[in-house]
This record gives sequence, structure tokens and C-alpha cells, in this order.
Amino acid sequence: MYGWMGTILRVDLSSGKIEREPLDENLAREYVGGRGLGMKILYDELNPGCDPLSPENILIFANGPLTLTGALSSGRYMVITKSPLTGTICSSNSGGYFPAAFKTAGYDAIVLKGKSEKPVYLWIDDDHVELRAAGAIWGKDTREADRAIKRETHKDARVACIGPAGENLVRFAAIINDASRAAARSGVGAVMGSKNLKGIAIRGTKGVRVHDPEELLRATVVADHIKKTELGEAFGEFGTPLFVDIMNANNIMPTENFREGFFEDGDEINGAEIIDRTLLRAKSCYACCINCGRNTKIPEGSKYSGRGDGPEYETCFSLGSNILVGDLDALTKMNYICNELGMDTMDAGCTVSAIMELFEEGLLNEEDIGFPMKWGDADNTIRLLEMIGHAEGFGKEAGKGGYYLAGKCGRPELFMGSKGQGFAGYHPRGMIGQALIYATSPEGGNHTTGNTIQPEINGIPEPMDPLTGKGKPALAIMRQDESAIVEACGLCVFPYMLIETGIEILAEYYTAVTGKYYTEWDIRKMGERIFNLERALNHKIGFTGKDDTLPRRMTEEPHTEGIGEGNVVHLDELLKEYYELRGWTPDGVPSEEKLAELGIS
Amino acid sequence: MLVTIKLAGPLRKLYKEPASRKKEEAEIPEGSSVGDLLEVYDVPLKSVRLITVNRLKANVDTRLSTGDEINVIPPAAGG
Ligand code: SF4
Repeated sequence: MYGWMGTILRVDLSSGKIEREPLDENLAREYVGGRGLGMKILYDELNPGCDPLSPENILIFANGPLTLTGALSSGRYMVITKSPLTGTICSSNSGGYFPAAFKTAGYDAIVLKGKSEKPVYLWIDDDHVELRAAGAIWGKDTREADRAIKRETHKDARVACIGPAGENLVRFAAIINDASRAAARSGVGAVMGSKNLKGIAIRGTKGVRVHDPEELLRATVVADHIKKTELGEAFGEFGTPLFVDIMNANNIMPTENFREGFFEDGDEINGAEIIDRTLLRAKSCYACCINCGRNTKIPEGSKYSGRGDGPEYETCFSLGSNILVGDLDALTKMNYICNELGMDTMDAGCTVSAIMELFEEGLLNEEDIGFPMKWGDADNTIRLLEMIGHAEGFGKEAGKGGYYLAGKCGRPELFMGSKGQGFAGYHPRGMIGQALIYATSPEGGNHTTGNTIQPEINGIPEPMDPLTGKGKPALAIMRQDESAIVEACGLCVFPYMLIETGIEILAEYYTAVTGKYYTEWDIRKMGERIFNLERALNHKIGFTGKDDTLPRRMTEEPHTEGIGEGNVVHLDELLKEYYELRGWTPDGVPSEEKLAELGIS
Repeated sequence: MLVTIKLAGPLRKLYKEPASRKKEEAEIPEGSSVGDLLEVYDVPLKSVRLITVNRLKANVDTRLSTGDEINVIPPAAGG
């Protein structure tokens, strides 16, 4: 097989048994790899009713057939499991250099089951695989753990690990690889912690077989042209925080727990400010020319200190505008803390913003928390983040997530997310297509299972009014399916979602790598199959269209000023059309006919 | 008349004063339009996705008044 490595590694953490299994070619053809392959394994093997933090849950690491082939942005891997944050299935995507080691060690996926009696880490040195005691590493933050595991294994090993947050089962704990990149969302780090698995270290030395290297190179030259476009240059220079200017001007940068879409201090936390104040260098994942990562240092003399990676745009919103912190140094510090403790900055931020609103409403007070949590209070937010990661005091409650907390205070609608996962940094009231994607995503309020920036904000290929629902169900479906196939291939969603010809280029890559002819239509169909499989698995767990909701703030409380003034999301109408176009039942479940058409059984 | 111009992201290299980082004041003739202002700053229209005046959507024909704040935003995609 070209593209795939042909082996799935299975590790039973309860018994310590390690097995290799050949990758079933039909399975790979239908579900590709990465998010698709992982989801199919979950579909076939997961007890849908299991507690996500119990040994019964399955944790899958997977790369895709295009990972590391030379295709644009191909240094990615995914973590697939049942989420302890939402109870749904989830797939969390990360880059860096770990994915390259993972694939070149010879594996398409690692399937982890059970629970180790004592803390362990998995060491994979090509064909040599062993579980090693991690007692001395347990408790360390992600940077220290990365170093310690490398010391014990090999200096060229690449490490994905959890920090204290994962060990303490924080529901939005991340898995951090290469000490800075995060499979951040949905609490995948807590699932790893629940299995007593501190990390996975991999050294790989094998090659990836590509059917037609010349054709691949030709497609890559096309993609390389992207780097020379304004997109490539702008993101290389400013990183994703360039979005601060764009989203703020469009009045969709979530502010004060999504009350509004404009942050007055946006200029203090944007891409330009990062360049002028904290940037050391732009950073790329393996095999990517976009360089959107930020390696930064908080300047000497600041009351905050440190050096690390970030922030990305999503953190500028979640721990910046949305909690009214307009201080880049403080925001960067919060980002470092989340990375070191191993937590998702987005759900950490959406939890903090909910806490601030609950505090303002008097539903949480100083006695509950230990200190006041007022809008814009960076220092107490830093305190709280540390408490969450270490499961201390009120941090233990907050670590169960904003949806849980708001619900406990009797006001679940004050958590800004869907299915218990916080939204990304695109205000639903000002971007109706994105609102529908948040509501229908199998994993909740996230932007990597589909995003509509290109048509709704950039007007490409055709301008679409972001403030109306016209054409949005069809758009949401297209973008969701695209995202599913991009992540199944082992690629980064970011450039493929922003390039007009992204899926066309992907089809060319896929053909060149696998040696079988795939049209753009074939590629989209595979995306549709994966997305439907996810919804079908969610249905087995117990989710239906009743869970495709948005908080009242999006559907009943309008934007009060600026672009989009008066706008709300008319979700019910959108959902009706969306389910019809999807070929699902009126209550949002993939119909028998649809599943049969896609060959899902 | 005096207006304020904000050039986002890569467009900031077009500020007249090298020290300007976030915004700049511009003296332009009474009755000028957004298009006139963009010409003064040599902003190529293909590099502009959104223009706002006082945070509301505008276009090159929008007439400006003293004290207006003009925000010029590049696209977030290409290819
Ligand atoms: S676009 Fe950014 S996040 Fe994606 S692979 Fe490239 S550098 Fe990594």
C-alpha cells in the first residue's frame, strides 16, 4: 500500500499486552486514516454507554495516508476517543514533529485500551515497543516530562504527553506534543490520564512510500504558490493572531462571554503587537511552509515572565477579549501556563468567562472561589488556571468545565458553547454559517470540524452575507465534509480551508500518493461518509438533533451595535433545511437510507 | 480635515510615519472619500477585503468627515 504504513499497534494497558495488526485495506480505502480510521475503530469497538474516564474507553492516535508525504501541511496527527467534556465522540488534531516520528516508526494508528495499574509511558523505537514505568515523571509539567522522557529514551525521540491537568482529569485537559503543540480539545488529555498513561515517545526511521513522487511534486509546486499569495505571507508574518484585526473589524470577535463582537483593546493583543513585543520567531509544523506558529518571550521588566509558544488567535479571544484582558504579556503567560499544565486554552477561557459572568450575577462569590473573578482580572485568572490544572480548591470544580459549572449554578445558558464544548473565536450571531456548524458538529462548539471564514468573511469563491441564513445549510455541510477528509488524510485544516482550490489539490495529492485515481467528488464523498459515521456513533451514545443547540444569547439576544446590529441566529429554520439536505431524519439522525448509500454498517 | 487611518496586518507597512504601529492621523482635503484616502496611502484595492468607517461597513465612495476612524482590513485567505 502506498501512503499507509500498513500496521495498527494495539496496546492493552490493563494487561500490558502489545500487538501488531495489519491494516485492513478496505477499511483504509473507505475511512482513509486519521480521524476517519480512528472513528471507524471507535464505531466498531467502543461500548457507546461507557464512562469516558473509565478503562472501557478507547484512546486512538492516528496519522493519515498523506501525513509526511510532502503534501502541504502534512505533519499532523489526530487523537480520537469519547470525550469526557461532552460525552460525544471527538477528534483532536495536532502538528509539530511528533506526527512525523509516529508515521516513520511504521504505524498508521495506535489503539490504547484498558488502564495501567501504575503510571507508565509507551516507548516506540521503530519496531521495538514497550511500556515503561513513569512513576518518577508523573506530576511533572509537559515541558519537564518531555525532557525527562527524552533523557530516558533517545534524544531524537518525539514525545506527546499530559501534564498535571490530564493526570487530574480536568475535562478539558490536552495532550501536548513537542512541548508546545496541543491536541487540545475535548479533554483527550484526561482520557490519557484516566489510563495512567503519561506519554508516548516515538523514534521513527522508516520511509513513506509514495506511488508517483513526480506527480506529488507537481501538486506541491501548485501548493507552494500559496505561500507566495497574500495568505501565505500574511500568516507567516502575523500568524493566526492576524484574525484579531479581521474578526474585530467584522464585529465577530467574542467579547465579555460573547455579549458582543468587538474588543476595544484588540490592538493590544493582535499579530502586530506580538511581532513588536514578544515574538522570537515564527514556527512551523513539519512539512508546512505557512509558519503560523509563534515562539515568544515575555519581555524583561514585565510583571509576567516566561518563554514558550503562543498565543494563537483562538487564545487571543478565549483568554483575551472574551474575559476582557487586553494585556498581551498576561495573555501570553496564561497561554504558557495552559501549555505547561496541559490544558486547552479555548475551553479554559470559555470556562473563565462563564465564571466571570456567574460572579457578576452573584451566583458565584468570593467564598466559593477564594477570590473575586471580575472581568479583565488577569492575575486572578492566572491563579485560577493554576488551581484548575492542579485540581486545588475551587479549581477542582472549574476543571469539570464551564457547562457543568453554569448548570450547577442553575444557569447553563451562560456557558457559551454547544454540547458542553466552548465555541471558537467567531461569534455565531455575526457568522450564521459558523453558528450552524457549531450546533451540528458531532463534538460541540469547535471550528476545526468545519469553518466558513472563506465564504462568509472573505467572500471566496462567492461572497455570502454572513448575517443571513441563506444558503448556509448547504455551506455548513460542504465545509464539515471537507474538514473530515482533510483530517482523515493527516493534514492541517487551516490552509486547506482557506485556499479556494484546497480540495482539488487534495484530490491530486491523494491520487499521486495512493496510485488510485480520485476525483474531487470522490474525496468529498469520503468526507461525507466520515461525518455521517460520527453522527451515527453519537446517536448510539444517545445524541440526537435535540442536542444541536446554541445558548439563548445566540438565538434571542441580538448584537447591540456595529455590523450585524440586531442580528440573532434563527437556528430552528436552519436545522430543518440542514437535516433535509443531509438526508437525515427530522430529529437529526442519519437515516437508514443515508447510511446504506454511504456503505456504513 | 483630520481623520485616523488604521491599516491592519501586512498593510501596516504603508503608514507614512515609520513610528506608526497601530494607527495614524491623516490630513486630507474636505470632502475626500475613502478611495481618496487609500490613494494617498497607496493601498492596492486587491489587498483590501473590508473597510469600516467608525466601525460600520463602508466602501471607496464613502465620504469622510473630520474625526472619522477608517479601518482597512486585508483578506484572510487567498490562492
Ligand atoms: S498551517 Fe500552521 S498549524 Fe497548520 S501545519 Fe502549517 S504551521 Fe502547522
